[in-house]
Amino acid sequence: MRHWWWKIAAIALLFTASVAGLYIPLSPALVHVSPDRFGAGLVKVQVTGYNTRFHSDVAVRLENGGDTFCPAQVEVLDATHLELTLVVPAGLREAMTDLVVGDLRYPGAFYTKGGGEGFPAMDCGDAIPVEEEQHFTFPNRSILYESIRNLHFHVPMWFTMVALMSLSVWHSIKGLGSNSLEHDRAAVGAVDVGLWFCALGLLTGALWARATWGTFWTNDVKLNGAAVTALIYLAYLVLRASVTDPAKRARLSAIYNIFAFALLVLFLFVVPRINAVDSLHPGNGGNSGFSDLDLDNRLRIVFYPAVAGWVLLGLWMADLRIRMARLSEQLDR
Amino acid sequence: MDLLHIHPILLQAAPSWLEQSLHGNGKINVVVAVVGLIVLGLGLWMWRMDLRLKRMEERQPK
Repeated sequence: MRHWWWKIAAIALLFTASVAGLYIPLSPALVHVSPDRFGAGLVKVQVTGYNTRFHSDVAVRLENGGDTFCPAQVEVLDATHLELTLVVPAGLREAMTDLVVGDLRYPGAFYTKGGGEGFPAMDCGDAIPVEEEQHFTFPNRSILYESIRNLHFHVPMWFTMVALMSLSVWHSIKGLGSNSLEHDRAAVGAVDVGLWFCALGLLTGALWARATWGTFWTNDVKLNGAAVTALIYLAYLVLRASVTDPAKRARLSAIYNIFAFALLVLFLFVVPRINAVDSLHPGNGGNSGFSDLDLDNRLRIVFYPAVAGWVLLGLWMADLRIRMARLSEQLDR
Repeated sequence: MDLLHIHPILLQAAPSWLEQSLHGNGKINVVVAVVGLIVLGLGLWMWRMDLRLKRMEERQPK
């Protein structure tokens, strides 16, 4: 068996990254308060945590415009629920009030109409961590929550597609120089598998978008760019099907493929990064990337092996596809 | 009693089955859907390769 090691690597990387991507818990966070609007006076608030272990000596405070006030009573209902009895002072300076439970902060948890002059500060005690054991966790971002794990599944689809399209354009350029049909077979095999990954990227992205942005499709630059790229590569296959002479087909489609790849780079990497364009995707159009959100690189440790695994699997699939096409042509002869 | 009074929370449209299933349990369900979709996609690819191979086998000279 020649060069089999990378296939083992593909399986090992995919297995490790998929298990880790699904298994590693989210870090504890405050996710919900009810009610989230109050005025001055007595109010009872229920606080919901995620992956928290609330205990009876947890310190709770509310921060408004630099002033701090403490709940009159904190009742621990269970590990993820608190009931606060608040005596909200008049004179809240700002509309948004932060909630701090132990070492967890919920910025802008409560809304009131601001405009007060402040109130005397209170001391609510020291911040005892809500979660004592600090094991390896993924960041717990509001709106995303558990769906942050999709980073390890949705994004590698696109990395794999770009890798396969790069392989394809490399074969197209080599094919133009050598006039060999072997390069043509490799180019179309890579595009064929690349389009599957493109389709999976679009569909998984649509599902994730529904759960985070509220809609399957938005006019985001990166979404439209990806859709146009998919159409360009579909046209590559249509173009090939319309030419019968193999040598002519190889030359024509190789030239088209070079233009297609240039457009892929433009639509997926250049246009979305223009600052004048707004994008919902992290790292695009003035939107911050995941690297800004998790400074301790907790996601990267799983994300990069996942990308490597999926790219290797994609290359393996293209390899099978190309070898099958070669055999098929030998049968025709 | 004021019968016409409706609590504001009742005026909000009930979330669809899809919204409920995607948002449940800290949105883990959307991860399940995404992983399931990828496995389904790879399965379809295998199916197509199987069909191609079958056609080749049929063309093979006996």
